[in-house]
Amino acid sequence: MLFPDVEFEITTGDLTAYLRSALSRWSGLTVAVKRPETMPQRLLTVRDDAGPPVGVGLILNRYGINAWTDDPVEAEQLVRDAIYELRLLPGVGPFKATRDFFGPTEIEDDPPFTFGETPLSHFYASFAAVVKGTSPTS
Amino acid sequence: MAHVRIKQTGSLDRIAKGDGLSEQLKPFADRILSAARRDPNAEYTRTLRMRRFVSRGRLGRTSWQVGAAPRIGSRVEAKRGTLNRAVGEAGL
Repeated sequence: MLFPDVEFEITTGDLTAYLRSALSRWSGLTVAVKRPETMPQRLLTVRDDAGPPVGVGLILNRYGINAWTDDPVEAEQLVRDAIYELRLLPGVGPFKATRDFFGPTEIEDDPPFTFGETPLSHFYASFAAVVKGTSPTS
Repeated sequence: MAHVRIKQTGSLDRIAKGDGLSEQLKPFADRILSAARRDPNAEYTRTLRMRRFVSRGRLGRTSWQVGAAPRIGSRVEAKRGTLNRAVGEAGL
């Protein structure tokens, strides 16, 4: 059996760059792959949860989105805005389609993360994206 | 991507809610559950369950649900995406 000569690049950088630009109306928002040691007032992280192949040169990659802000309504709205923007993702970079959106769901951190003295509210969502691989020889 | 082939021997409504389809789907739920059980949080893995669910009505269908206790389940999912990864590992 022949396997296609395709490699899949790390996509969380593409996603954070896309969300940073798409959510630029959120002032002071940090979009990152990992949660920093010191929490900012508004933080959105993107985690790659991997996924199976769905065709020649395609994988169905799953992602987790975590958001923290110092206001619970804002935290939920931030995740809702991120989901809205991610629905518009197909066509950007290697992303061919998005599906299986789930959330936002409130997460009770124990103990809660804080910004200064203020406890941060935490919401979570997940989704899947069909990601196209690239041929290393091309 | 996983595929299931079913030979149609009755009405679609009966097939969608029937034991045959349930038996075809169960191995996927088993795989998801066993992948999720590898999570390092023992308190979480102790609460993992799977169960068959059949929805009612004309569009009712059979499905398998895999989940954990609500608070710890959502906390672990937000932290490590355990079920998200397990679904992918099952080829779904």
